[in-house]
Amino acid sequence: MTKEELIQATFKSIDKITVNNFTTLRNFDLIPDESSIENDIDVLIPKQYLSDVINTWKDNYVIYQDQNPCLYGAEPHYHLKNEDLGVHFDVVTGLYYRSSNDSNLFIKVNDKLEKSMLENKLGVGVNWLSQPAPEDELVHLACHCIFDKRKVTQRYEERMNYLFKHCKKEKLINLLEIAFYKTSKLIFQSISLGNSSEIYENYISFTDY
Amino acid sequence: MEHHNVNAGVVVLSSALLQNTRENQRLDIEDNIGEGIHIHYKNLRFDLTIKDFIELAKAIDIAVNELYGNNQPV
Repeated sequence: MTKEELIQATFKSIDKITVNNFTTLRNFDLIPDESSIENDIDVLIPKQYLSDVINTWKDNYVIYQDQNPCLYGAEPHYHLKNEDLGVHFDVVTGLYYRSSNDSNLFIKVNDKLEKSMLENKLGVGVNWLSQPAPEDELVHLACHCIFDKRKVTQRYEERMNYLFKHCKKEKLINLLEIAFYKTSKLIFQSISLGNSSEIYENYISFTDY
Repeated sequence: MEHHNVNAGVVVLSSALLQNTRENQRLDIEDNIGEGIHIHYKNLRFDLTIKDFIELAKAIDIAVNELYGNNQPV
């Protein structure tokens, strides 16, 4: 089995087990050619399907859970690794981000974000089969940059600027408010002006509340 | 189970353990970014805007000066 075949078979199996109730989170363009142990494939799968996914793939992957502490309903990531073929699925059961106060600690921001992401996901006829709607992907990338990475890489800057053009603005504002409270207006403004690279600095230096 | 909104952007601005108290010793001041300043005092939480927090800090500073003058305890 090649790397691409394993990735394709895993996605098809996840799709079948979850009855299409999953989504790949980001960096789709890297799948499958640039997927590797380091360039993992981030997938959101609701918890009720996870044991079936693990049982199905336990002979093809080394499977383990992170040990990071989690709060407010967050749960550890599950990792499915095949070192021989260089395939690494990083599975989350919800949208959890690192706390600004303790980067080891994962926090669930709000059920509404993952509910929106799963309800509005888009089926795609390529390897990863399912990806978030533009508004959900953009808000996820903003959270990932601000909370997890504490910086905006050029890759994410370009993707956020691209996604903004395809977003329904009212829906985007609502989702940003859930994650960023009053800072959401400034973040929206920066992205709308094509300045997505500034959102971490905007966020961390905001004091008008 | 539904969870309420949780702010992942929390920065602890100061933290201390209260001395000589029989109750909770907690005294933490947090910036909940975009949301408000939280003062955790024993088992209470005060939610303040930044403007109100600054006014409170000024008022406490004035009160401490009034109480001790130049002989403030360390």
